[in-house]
Order: sequence, then C-alpha cells, then structure tokens
Amino acid sequence: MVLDQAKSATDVDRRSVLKTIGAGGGIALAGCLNGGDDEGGDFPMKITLEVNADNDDRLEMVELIAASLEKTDYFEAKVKTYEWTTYVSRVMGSEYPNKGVVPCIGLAGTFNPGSFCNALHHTDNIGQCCNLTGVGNEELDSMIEDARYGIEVSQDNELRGKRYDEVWNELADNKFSSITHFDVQSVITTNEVHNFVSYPFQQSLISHALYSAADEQVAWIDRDNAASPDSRSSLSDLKEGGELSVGLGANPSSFDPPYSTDTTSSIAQSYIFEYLTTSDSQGNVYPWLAEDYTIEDVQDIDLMAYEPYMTEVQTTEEDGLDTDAQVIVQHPEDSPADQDTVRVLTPTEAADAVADGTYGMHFRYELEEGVSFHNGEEMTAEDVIASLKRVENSQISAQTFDSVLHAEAVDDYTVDFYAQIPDAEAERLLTSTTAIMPKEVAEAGNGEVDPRNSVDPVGTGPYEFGEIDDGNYFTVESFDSYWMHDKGIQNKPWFDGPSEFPNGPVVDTVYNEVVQDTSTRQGSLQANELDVTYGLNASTLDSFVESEDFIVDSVSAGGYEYIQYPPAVEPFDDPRFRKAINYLIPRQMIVDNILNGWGEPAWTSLPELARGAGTADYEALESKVRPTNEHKPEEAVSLLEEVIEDKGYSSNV
Amino acid sequence: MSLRRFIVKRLLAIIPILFGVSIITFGLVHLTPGDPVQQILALNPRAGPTEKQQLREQFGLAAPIWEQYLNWMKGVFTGDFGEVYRSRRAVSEVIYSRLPETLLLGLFGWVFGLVIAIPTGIYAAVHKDQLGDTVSRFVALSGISIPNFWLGLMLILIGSLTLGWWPVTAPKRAPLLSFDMLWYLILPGLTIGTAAASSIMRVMRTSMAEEMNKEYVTAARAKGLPERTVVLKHVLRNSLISVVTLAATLTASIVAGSVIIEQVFAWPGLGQTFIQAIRNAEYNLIMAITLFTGVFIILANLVADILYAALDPRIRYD
Amino acid sequence: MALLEVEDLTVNFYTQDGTVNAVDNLTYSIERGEKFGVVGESGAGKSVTALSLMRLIDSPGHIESGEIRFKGQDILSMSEDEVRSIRGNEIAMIFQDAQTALNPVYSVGEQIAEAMRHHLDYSKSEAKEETIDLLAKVGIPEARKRYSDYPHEFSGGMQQRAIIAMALSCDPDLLICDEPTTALDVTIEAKILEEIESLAEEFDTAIQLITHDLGVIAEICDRVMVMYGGKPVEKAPVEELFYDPKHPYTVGLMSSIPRIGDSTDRLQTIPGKMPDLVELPPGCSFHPRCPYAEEACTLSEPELLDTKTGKPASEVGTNHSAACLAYSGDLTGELDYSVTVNEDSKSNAPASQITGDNQ
Repeated sequence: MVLDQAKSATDVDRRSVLKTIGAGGGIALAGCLNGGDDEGGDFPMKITLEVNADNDDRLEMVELIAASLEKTDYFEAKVKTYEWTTYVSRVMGSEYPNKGVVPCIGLAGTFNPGSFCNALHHTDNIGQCCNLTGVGNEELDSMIEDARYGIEVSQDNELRGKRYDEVWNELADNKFSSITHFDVQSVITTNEVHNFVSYPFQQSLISHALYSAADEQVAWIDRDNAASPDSRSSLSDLKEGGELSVGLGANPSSFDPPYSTDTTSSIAQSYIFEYLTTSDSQGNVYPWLAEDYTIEDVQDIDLMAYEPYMTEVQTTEEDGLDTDAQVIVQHPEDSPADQDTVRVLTPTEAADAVADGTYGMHFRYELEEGVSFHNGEEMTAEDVIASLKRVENSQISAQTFDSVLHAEAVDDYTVDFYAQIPDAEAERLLTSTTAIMPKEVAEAGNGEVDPRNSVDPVGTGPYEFGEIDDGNYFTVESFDSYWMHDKGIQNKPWFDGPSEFPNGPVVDTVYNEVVQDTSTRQGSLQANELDVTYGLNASTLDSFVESEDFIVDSVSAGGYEYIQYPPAVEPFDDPRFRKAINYLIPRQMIVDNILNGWGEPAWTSLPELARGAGTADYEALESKVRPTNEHKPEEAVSLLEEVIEDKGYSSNV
Repeated sequence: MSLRRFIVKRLLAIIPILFGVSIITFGLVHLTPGDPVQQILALNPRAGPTEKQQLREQFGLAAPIWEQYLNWMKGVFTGDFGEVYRSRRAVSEVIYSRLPETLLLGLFGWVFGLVIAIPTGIYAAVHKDQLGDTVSRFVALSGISIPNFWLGLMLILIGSLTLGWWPVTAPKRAPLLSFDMLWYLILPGLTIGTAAASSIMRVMRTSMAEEMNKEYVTAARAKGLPERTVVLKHVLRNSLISVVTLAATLTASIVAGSVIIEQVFAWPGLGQTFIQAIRNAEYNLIMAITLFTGVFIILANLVADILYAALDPRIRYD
Repeated sequence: MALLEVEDLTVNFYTQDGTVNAVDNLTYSIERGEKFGVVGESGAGKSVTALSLMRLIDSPGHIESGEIRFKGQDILSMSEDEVRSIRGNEIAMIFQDAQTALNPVYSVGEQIAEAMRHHLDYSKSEAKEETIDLLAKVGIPEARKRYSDYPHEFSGGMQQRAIIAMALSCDPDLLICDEPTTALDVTIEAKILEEIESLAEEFDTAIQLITHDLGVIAEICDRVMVMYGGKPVEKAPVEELFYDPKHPYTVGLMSSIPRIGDSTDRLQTIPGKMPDLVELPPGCSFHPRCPYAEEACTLSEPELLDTKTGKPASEVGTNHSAACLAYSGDLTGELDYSVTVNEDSKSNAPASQITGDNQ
C-alpha cells in the first residue's frame, strides 16, 4: 500500500517511524510448538500472520507470504487482521514479543541509514516504535550506535559506511526481520506543468518540485506549450507566473510545525517555513538560511559526561517524568520504571554543561543577513533560538532533542548549536527539524500557529499564507520580499547550476485543494481541474503513464515494510529458522503483482536514498546480501529440515 | 391540545433522548481501543510515558470516565464542546464552519429524493400492474440496492468525465449559494436522493394504490371530476401521510449516506470531519457531531409529526 | 322517450375464480321525475347496475354489451370527456356509506363546492354561497359554520345529508341512491328518506333507488324492479308489486318481512341462498329455491313475461312482468300463494303468505 498516500497521508511522521493508516501490517506467527495438543507433530507448524485491515496492498502481501509458506507443506498459515488503532496498541504492548506472532509494519525511513536498522532492532525501541517482537541484543545495539556516534565516524564517511556494512551483514546473518520492499514516491501532473519532479519524501514533495536550488530543480506552468512525458523541458523555456492547483489527500491538521506530524500538514508548512540548512535528493546538506556553518569542535564524550550537571526529577506512577521542562538527556543508568527519582538534563542544565565546556559537537552557523519574514521583520539569531525553544515539549521534541543539546545566540547573526555526543547525523539533524519563525510567533501557545486559530503562520519561505477554507482548500502566494530574490542563488558558494536558474520558485500562487477520496482526486486530475496530485493507486498510475496528456514522475523513496520474528518463542530463536522463512518471501512477486511494479524489492536493507552514507560499497554489499533475500523454497526446506533434526522437533512432513 | 403546546412538549422530550444518546456514544467511543494520545504519539519515536501523561492531562483524559463525562456535559450547556486535540481548535467552531455545507447537501438530497419519488410513486400507482408500474418498481429496487458510493462515482464518471457537464469537485472558491455551487450539488444530491427516493417511492405507490380503492375516489369520480383532479387532489393528500412518516425516518439514512457521499464528492461537510475524527479518536468532535445529528433527526421527526397533522385533519394532538 | 333507457346490459367480472356474470341482459327504463326502485339481496347486481350507468365500472369488471340511453344518447359509446360531463352534473349518485364516500382530509363544504365549480363554472365564492344554501336545505343546521368542518366532525345522519347535498349540487336529472339509508339507524332513516323525497320533488329529479329494504321501496318508489342473480325477475308499479306479486322470489321476499302484530314464532325465509354468480344454476336461476319449481324450470331460462298475456315483455309494452315459466304456460303446477291485506292501521303493508302444497 505504498502508493495510496491518501491513506498514509494523514499520519506520516516527517522523520521516521510508523507509516500511517494503511501502513501497519503485522504477521503474527503463533508458535504452536508445544507439541502435544494436536495429533500431528510440531510440523506442519501453525503460523498466524497479523496485519492491519485497512491497507489493501499490505493485506494482499501478507496473504501472498502466507500462501508461500503453506506451499512448502511445513506450515499452516493463517492471516489475522486488526483495525488500525487496535493494531497499534496491540503491537506496542509489553507482552507482544511473547505471543509468538510476527508483526508487519511500515516505516518511513530518511537519509539516515540508521532509520533502516535502529528503529527495528535497537533494544531501546522494544515496546514502542518499532522493535515490536523484542529482537536484537547488546552487541547489535553497539554496532548500530557505533555506526553513527563517535568522533571517528562523525568525521570519516567511509568509516561510517564500513560500520554500517558490518551492521547489514550481521542482520543478514541473523534475520531478525525481513524487509520486503521499498516504496516509490510518485507525482502526477498534467502536461501544462513542466519539470515537476518527484522527491523521496512526500512531506516536501510539492515545495521541492517548485524550487530546490540544491537539486537545480524548478517547475513552471505553461498552459500554451505542452510538456513531454519523455523528456525534461529546457530551462530556457521557463515561464513565470500562474496558479498551480494541487490535490491534497487529506486536510492539513495544523500549520504549526512542531505540533503536527502528518504529511499533509508538512506539505502545507513546507511552502511557508525554511530551515538553517537544506539537502538535495542524495541527502547532502547545504547551508540555506545559514550563509555558512562550521564544525568548531568535536569532543570524545558520551552521555555519562553530563552526570555532574544533571538534576533529579520525580517519576510518576505511569513511569513518566514529573517535570514541565524538556528532558534532553536522561541518565543512561537510571530507569523511571524502577526508581522514584531519575537524573536528567533539562535546557537549564544543558546550558550549564555547555558553558562548562561539556558537549559532543559544536556547530557555528553564520546567518544570512537581510532575510525578511512574511511580516516584514528581519531574521536574527534570537528568532532562531526562539524557534528551537518552541520545539521543546512539542510533538517533535523527542526526535529533536535526541541529538540537540543546546543552542545559543552569539550575536545577531551567529548561532551556536551543540550536539550531545559526536554524531554523524548531527550535521543534518541539528537544524532540520526547527522551522524558523519570528520570535513572537514562536512564543505563541501550543499549536496556535494556524490560520484557523489565533496566529497566522509566518516564516521566511518563498510563499506566504493566503487564505483557507477549512477542509476545502487553502492558498499560498508568492512572497515579494523573499530573501533569495535579493541575494541571488548564484551567490551561494555551493551552487553551481546554470546562470539562468531563478532565485526562487516562479509559480505565483499555489491552490491546494483537499480531495480525500483517491478516485475523486484522480477524476479531478483527469478533468484537468487539478494540475498536480500524488498518492493514487498503482493501477491508475499505469494509465496515467500511458497517456500523453499527463506526466508521471517517480523516485525511490524511504518508506518500507517489514515483518519481524519473535526470538523469544521457539523455533524463532534459531536464526536458521528465521532465514528459512525469509527465503520463502517472494519479494519480486510482491512488487510485480501487488504493487504493479511500483516499488523496489528489498534485496538489502538499504534503499537508494540512504546509500550515500549507509555503505562503503553498495555493489559489494548487494552481491553479498542479496542472495540471502531471494525467493528460494528449496533452501528454505533444507534449512527447516536442519532445524527440525537439530532441535528434535517432530514432523509429519 | 394546541399545536404550540404539542411542539413544546416534543422539544422538551428531546432532552432525555439526547442525554441517552450522549451517554451511549461517550461510552462506546471510550471503550473502543486506541485513544487520541496514542494516535498522536504512536508516530513519535521515543515518546515515552512522560509525554503520554502530559498530553493526557492537557486533553482532560486523565480524570475517571464519569468525571470526564460530567465535564463534557457542563461544557455542552455553555456551548463549549471542547477542542479538537490535534489542532486545538474549538469543536464548536469546526462544526459551525461546516454546518452550512452539510445542511445544503442534505437539503439537496431531500429535495431530489422527493422530486424523484413522489411523481414516480403516483405514476406507478395510477398505472398499477402495467408496464409503467413494473418499470418504476424495478427502478426503485435498483435505487435501494445500488451502493451509494458506486452511484456517486458513476455519476462523476458520466457527468463529469464523459459529458463534461459538471466539474469533478466542487468549485471551491465560489460562494455557497452561487449558481455554480448549486449546479455542482446536483450530482451528489441525486446520489443521496436516489437511495432515499426508492424507499419513498415504494411507499407512495402502495399508499396510493390502497387509497385508490377507497369509496371516496369512486364518489369523486362520480362527481365527474377529471381523473387528474381525483388523483392529485383527493388521493394524493391521503397517501402522503405514510410517506411523510417514512420520509422523516429517512433523515437518518440521508445523514449516514452523506458521510460517504461527502468523501466521494470531496464535499467539505461534517461527514468528512466525522470520518477523520473517528480515525483520529477525536472524542470531543465525535461526541459533538453525534449530538448534532441526533438533534437533527429528532427535529425531522417532529416536523413530520406536524406535517402529519397538517395533512390529516382527523389527527389532533391528544 | 324515457329519461333513461337501459337495454340488454351485461356486465362481467373476470376474476381468478372465474367469470362473474354480475348483470345479465338487464333492460329497464326510468321516466323523468319518476322514482324507480331496484330491489334484491346482496350480490344481486344492484350496485353494479348503478355504477354502470355512470361508466364507473373498473377492471376486473367489464361492460360487455348493451346500451344505456340517457336523454337519447348511449352512455356506453360516449367519449370519456362526455361521460365526465354527465357525471355529477346530470346523473349523480348518493352512496351507501357516507363516511367512506367523503374524503376525510377536505372540508365537507369543499367537496360539495368543487363539483359546482367544475360543472357549473362557479367562482369560489359563488360556489361557497350556493353550498351553504344547499347544506341548509338538506337540513344541516349552522350551515355556514359547518361548511368548513371535516367529515369526521359530522354525525352519521349529517354525513348522509351532506352526501345528498353533494349529489344534488349540480341539479341532476337522475339521482342514483345506492342503499342511502342502510348505514343509518331507523329514526334517521325516516328523515333522510323524507328529505330525498321532498328534494326530488322540489328539483324534479328522477331517482333510481337501490335497496334491499322493501319498506323503503314502499315509502318512496313509483315503480320497482326485483333482481335476482344478476337478472331482473319482476317489474311492476309499487302497489301492484306489494298487493299482487307475480314472481315466487318476490313472494318469498314479501313473506320474509316481519310484520308488527305478527304472531308467528319463526321468521319466514326463502330456503337456500343466492347462487354464486360464477356458477349459475341451469335454467331459471331461482329454481333451486323455488317451492314451485318443475323440471321445465331447469331447462330453459325464463325471460320477463307480461303476466297477463305471457308474451315477452320486450315485445309487448307492459306494466307488470315477471320472469317465470308460470306465465308462459309451460308449468304444469300453479303458483300457489295468497296475499292478504290487513286493513290494520298499525301495519300498512300487505302481508303475503305462501300457502299450498309446496310449503
């Protein structure tokens, strides 16, 4: 169910974790290996696959896997479905790993290769998103952490890649989970829209296509000259102006960046807000609202170094922390479940630590000068600090303060950000979740920054907020005093695109219409009532591809789906058993038959967009790992037989 | 008893009904698995018990259920239906902003329902057991059997994509009562209306066929009145009584049907809001919409009762 | 030329159980201003006759053959529009059950006025005034107020008066009264009958009075036709019918009426019952119940014969005819009954008794 983004649109987090409604799929294998109660032996084994009911593609996929398992005669496979919210509570329950069921779920990964191994396998994520069946061990945890944290990897990309390779190989050997496929993000436009390219992350799909200097990407409307589905239009034919009609799959729940995590809200926000940095579609980071940034210092410390600065807070009955302040670091040896008080670092103590010279990394950002907000004020360092403050205790605080330790203004145009420990992702993560807004706006109440509430969203972006009819549509209009118009993109040192490349998006107005039903949205596009949309079914994509009047562009994205085995229950404790089941997953067939080709089989755990940082040599990795993920029923059977014999299970096969 | 007293009595009766409805809905909604905090936080990595607790308190979900209910009730009496958890908007504001659209769509559905049903019913009754009757009954049966959303999609396919007479989605920047908007509403109105029309038409037909056998019809004919007058003046008014009753009960199904139709036609009414609210476990919104719907249906039945008496002078409110 | 001439009228009803021959070759006529009675048991075809006069027979009924000449024109071959202009206007009907004949949702006044508006082209106010007059004339007090009252607000007797008003509203030439007092209690019945009679006098309207009640016939009618099994079995002026009945069925009817001062213990009845009109007995329909039946009666169906000459009534204009083979000379036995007239002031009607061997 990759492509029905309308379903997943409502709740996709901008970073990682759960794909939404439509994303959860669970395979529950009920290990019925206590022999006794039925006439047969342990094999054929009863297996139960669990999945969420509202995602058709995922359900089909799970049923296909079940059929594949049954075909070997070693399994009696059953598929159980749950409604989404029920499913979520079920798989995150603390008892879940002992049920002997394998949940299938979908996540949205990012440029960070860790998002394809950490969430699923790190033991910290047991009982929450998304290590659902309690896999992993300390050694694996360390391997994963070492690939990201530490002075060496933060400075040496190749080393980092090598460390990740070790992780992938370890995972291939152990097969704690099986990633089935990676998503493809596609966007469809009429042929009046030129060069509207897709982007791996739906959250900024539209704004990226409209203008991305890092990718030398700009789209325009030309209602008189048709674009060709087969080739890009030339930059010299660019036409300015016009109103673009975009079909959204859901109503944006909020225009307030720290207070919304669903995709459609992110789309809305991405017109209006910008960040200190930006990245291209390979994941390389460039200074944006910062004119330049430098890594001033890296220190080889770990979280224990903050112990002297920590303060104590009470724990609550629900094992939470009784404090209103943002918890930045919790003492690694303290556990709220077991203790009455716990040591933590809040922003106050973090500032103390930094003043004392204790920090992992120190980044200094020189801000661009003369950047106007939509309300006419100039962006200064205090706006940046206030914007970060707004993230505290918001819905994205956990992700942000996972790496951020502290930030402070040095002068009007200089801001320092501190990372907790040396972190290879710090360059990207320190600033990419903090949307820059003016201080007064940043100090508004929780979730108030929304035209439907009391405070209009104000940012630095090329579009400012126009009007809204809730549930119906909203518009954004070109901001005349957009800072890049004055600065000129050519003056960004890293930019080496053509000289005609514009200094901002050229489309005047974007009219965003909410059309939740995919069929209706499709019809609307067909009737040319919309110019652009996304999130349509695979079958309709094919018909748009074939038509000369529409252009479909797709790229390999970060979303993926996986099934996970419960090693606490026999025979899943045996890696050979898990590998056997993995051999029975028909990845190519899943992509071809269920997704109609709109997907990539996961031969490794690494999709295209993360290959930059995630491996030292992708080809070598693939040649090693791919054979373990291909559909090989005979291998599976021989592994099963091995396990049966070794462990002494009874078998009637 | 006079009409005024009757109405007042009935309006007062609404209160206990709504009370019951609210309790049941509240209970059901809280009993179903999943809650808004979990919905929001499920998407958050490492959002732990602290965040959960904080949010729970913010949303007023930390108190025991009966207390939550009482707080909610208190709010209702002052017109405060709580807020939407995700966006912090006042629920009442959300509802009022979508109410005109919802009512307009419902109205169209109604009008089409009656406009289709009554003439067809009359026609079928007058031509009872002939070809016209059979065809009408077949059409009515299809109307009831065809799923709403399929019909809606088909109308879009034919009306918008093939014929091009209607836009696929509503002309969103046009004012609600403009010609463009009202023209657009024909398709969704037809979709809703057809389903309701089918039931009404059948009752109309049966009712009329029954009445046509009565003595006063012969007497009217014996007076030499033209057949049209006999049917449309004498028979029709007697037949409408059962139709009105049915039509009022159909309000509920029109409301239910519009939820789906709003999805199909991307009509920004309360139906869509309702679906989203259920998905997101937005308790306050769910309760409020349920309540409004309940009031609406009760009022529709009240109107039916009043019409009933207006149609049939034998009925007085005793 | 008589006002109404019915000739050889046959009406059939096609039902699932078979074809019901409701009216079979019926012939009679009514003069202007005349009061003509039609008598018979239930199911004899009386109401069907009435409805056929206005062509109100609906499927499964069907007027098979015959002519109904009203003022010289055959109703059965007129167009729908022509028939409609006669209905309510020149021929009007008073129904048996006033309650159901009135539309419950419209005011009584309206139902009377609408015929006037339609046929006589009155304006709303004219029609209303006329109606109020009419209501007063039929004996409804507070006519102006009652104009806007609804049928259920009237008593049974008032309802019937309203029906009468409705029928008389356009001053018809022929009034068909279908059991007008059957649904009323006796005291009202008398009044209503009086009304009908006086109104008919006043408006110079002919009446076809359909009833099963001989007493009503005696009150009002000038001439009578007795029907049995869809056919006429006797036609006579009213006094002759009572004092000198000619057909065994009529005799039976007469004798079954209880008289005041009668001292018999049991009521006389005609044994048996009316035959199912789908399957009429062969020959004379009455023969299974007739005390004087002979073999000849099973063979041929008698037509109306002049009781004096025995010739078919259709050929010879006659006052009194009966459909019995006794008058054609085919019977061997005699119709053996006697009619005695008690000049008892308490009972005005002559009594008849069936005596003789075949009792």
